[in-house]
Amino acid sequence: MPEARYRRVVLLLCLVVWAAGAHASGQVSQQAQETDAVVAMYRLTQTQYRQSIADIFGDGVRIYGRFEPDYRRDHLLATGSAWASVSPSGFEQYERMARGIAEQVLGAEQRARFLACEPDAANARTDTCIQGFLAGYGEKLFRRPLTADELASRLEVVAQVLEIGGDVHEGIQYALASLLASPEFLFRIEAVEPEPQRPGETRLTGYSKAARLSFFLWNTTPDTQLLAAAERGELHDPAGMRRQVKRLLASPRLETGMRSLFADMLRFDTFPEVSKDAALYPVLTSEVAQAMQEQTLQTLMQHLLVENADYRELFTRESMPMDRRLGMVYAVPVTAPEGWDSYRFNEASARGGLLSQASLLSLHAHAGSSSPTLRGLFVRETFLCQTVPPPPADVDFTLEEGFAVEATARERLTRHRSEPVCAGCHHLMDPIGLTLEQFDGVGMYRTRENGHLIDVSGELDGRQFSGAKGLGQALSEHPRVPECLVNTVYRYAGGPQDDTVQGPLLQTLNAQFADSGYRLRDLLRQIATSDDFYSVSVSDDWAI
Amino acid sequence: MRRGHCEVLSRLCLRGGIAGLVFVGSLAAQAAGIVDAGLASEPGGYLVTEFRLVTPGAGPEDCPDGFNEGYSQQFLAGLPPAEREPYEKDPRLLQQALAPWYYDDPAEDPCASPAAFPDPGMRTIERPLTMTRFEPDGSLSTRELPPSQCPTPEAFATQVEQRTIDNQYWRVMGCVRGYQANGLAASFADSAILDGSMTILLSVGGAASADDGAIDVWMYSSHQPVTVGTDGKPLPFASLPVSAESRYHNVARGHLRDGVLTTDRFNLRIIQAAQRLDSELYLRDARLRLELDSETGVASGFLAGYWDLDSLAHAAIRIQDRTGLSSGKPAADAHGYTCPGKYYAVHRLADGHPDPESGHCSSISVLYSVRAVPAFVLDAPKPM
Repeated sequence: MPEARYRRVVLLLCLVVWAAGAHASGQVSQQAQETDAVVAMYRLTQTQYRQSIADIFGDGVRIYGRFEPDYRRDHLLATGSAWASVSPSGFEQYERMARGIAEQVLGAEQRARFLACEPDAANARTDTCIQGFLAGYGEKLFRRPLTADELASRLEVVAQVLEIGGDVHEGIQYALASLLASPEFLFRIEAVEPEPQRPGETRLTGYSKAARLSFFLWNTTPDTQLLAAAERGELHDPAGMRRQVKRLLASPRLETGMRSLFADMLRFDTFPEVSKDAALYPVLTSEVAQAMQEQTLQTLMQHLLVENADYRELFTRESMPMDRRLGMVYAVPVTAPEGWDSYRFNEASARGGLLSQASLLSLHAHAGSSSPTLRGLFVRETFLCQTVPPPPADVDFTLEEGFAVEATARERLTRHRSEPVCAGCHHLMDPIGLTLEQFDGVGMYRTRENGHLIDVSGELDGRQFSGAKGLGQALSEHPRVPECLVNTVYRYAGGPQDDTVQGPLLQTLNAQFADSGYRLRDLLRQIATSDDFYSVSVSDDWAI
Repeated sequence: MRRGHCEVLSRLCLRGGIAGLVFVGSLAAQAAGIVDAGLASEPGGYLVTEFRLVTPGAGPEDCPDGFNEGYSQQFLAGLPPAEREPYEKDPRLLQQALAPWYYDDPAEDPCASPAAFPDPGMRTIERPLTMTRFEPDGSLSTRELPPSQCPTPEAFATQVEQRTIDNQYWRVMGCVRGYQANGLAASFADSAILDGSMTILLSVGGAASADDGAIDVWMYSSHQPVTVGTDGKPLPFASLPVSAESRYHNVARGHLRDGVLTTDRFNLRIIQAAQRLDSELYLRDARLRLELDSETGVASGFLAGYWDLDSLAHAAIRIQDRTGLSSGKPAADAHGYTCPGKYYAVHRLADGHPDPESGHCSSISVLYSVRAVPAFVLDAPKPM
């Protein structure tokens, strides 16, 4: 068969399987009026997709294609994933990635790693080897066992590839690709089932609980043990759930999950968009930008996971990981020739606490200057969970030109706030950001701006202080800071947004977080083992 | 000393509790407010970002017979115009005609063994020149002076401290096309630093126990390449280890006055590498003068000294690589001179360290311009 025709036929087959899969889901969902009903769908983020593939097929499998952009909502990509869809062009990319992955998995070089048995081409629709492969990887990809229809449709793909002249491995390859391009893989689909103890009520299925838990703590697909626990129904039992949560929290993979949480919270996905004036900030190479993010994530992991320290103390922490690239940003010596060393800033230093790290200072600044306003906005939104309204539509940007004659940001912003239309919001942001003005647009230390000494006095919700350390101290003692983390982690985890559940649950979690001494591990455990975290409110609109 | 420096020095001594041990390498940076005050107890230093031979450019009367000619030019000049044309059109033909550039037998290579070939003569600048020289008191002068002469061994030994260090090497290279303002040497200036072949560190500080407040000034080679920023220049505040080889640890007695650092005489040996070159720069009775800019933290100035002729021949005539092959011939041709011509010229104009037996000078004065940015010098030997 000519190659072009062969490819067209196979593509058609894949589309048929997609449609069949959707149809099959519909059939299942119709039954689910009484049994399983879909209540939520979260499109996998790029990180989740990559980590899922790595977990299922190993790190050696490469992903070729362009991801649909992740969508941020309420300051989190995790929240946005519930609102994200797949565009036609996006599906083409996912389909391309699916074929690429399947080609690697079932190509001659690696096939033996994944397919331990010899498939029988003569009985493709019934061969146990093929069935075992597709059912096994199908469960990992869909995070639940395949339905009979779902498995049969993939076996049909294998059979039809054979009929049009392909070999059996190509057939399995295209069947695997169709699993990878399925909505059941691309979306984390949550479903409910009847609650046996309370007739008329529903609960998340065990597999949905497993996925919610796994993506929350590890940011990846559930592992074999978690799926097995779901199959046995253990996740509906508080003790069984506690066992799994304990296991996930003890795993080194927790770090992967928490890195994703904080990268999302700190908006590190926007780092590639950071553009700085190369002449003004020659130190900011792409390697250094990468190291800045790594430094912050390492700081968080060391403080919150390794040391299990008080979250609030992050804002006053004196030590941070340092490598030689970053040593040039911080102007500090780094003795370790390779990798990371710990550097402690002493009392006399102007630097200290998370907010004085170059990643955050660079990310929330302009291309050619610092930005007290952006930094203040970031602090309000990210660490205090407060909303600052966007600039009014009729804002007069020509005012900026008049302010530019002032030597320092403080002077420029003071004039800015003298405009009533600006003052309303800027007074919420600028007094915070001005305390970080001793750090330029990439976080390098300075004492002068345009030859003038920089004044780093500032204020946060009525508290006066000075400099980055003063801001760190103020934040560490601000009651909203730990509450904001609880709120952020809860929203990241995908907890119910229903006010009747969320309100009391957050109140409880806040109290427990305080009682634990503001330890992240305890917060994670409290959320993950809370019954309310897995509660759902089913609307007829959700059923498909 | 500027007031800011005095204040910082005092603070360092008192707060650090290490009386007698001061590090002024990062003083300018601290004064400029570009280094966090909390870091003052860390040892400081400098990374040399520019290290260039001072080549003022030949004036209209400096080379009355024109510039020297390299091997290619001499070859072409010897041909009738009609035969010359194909070589001028196709550089590959010219290279083939002049082959081999690299000789299996060094004895056949005029650059590997320049002394084995007769002196073809090299045009040098013989007239009095007004150019920068290093004076005995550490200042710079620009008086018009005739070529420096090779003194007697006795005179050199007794007067070396009172001697102005000239730049006779410029007289040797002044009539070379590649050493003019827009020549090849200028276009390759600092390329060895930027490509990581040559890293030079400075560390200013050490024992301040001497009554006159003298401090130690160390100059090292490092095997660690510099890190270049997005502006194409070496970045400041790099952490760079000194070479483990003690021959590249050079120390001088220094003085810091009014933001200007000068050293007494010292012998300097640093790695000199570039492209295929793998050599050393050996300057005898060298002196350093750097102005420390309190605004930018940058140190800039000059290094003067007497370039040992053997070291010069290895690094700047034979241009030997690690395999022992000489890259001298292509280099000489690219700049526009011949190796034997240069070899005899540097000996003729040599003005330092006369041999007690022959009376011939064994070194030639040379001047480098230097610029350095703050850096952290690691693994340095303990201050004496």
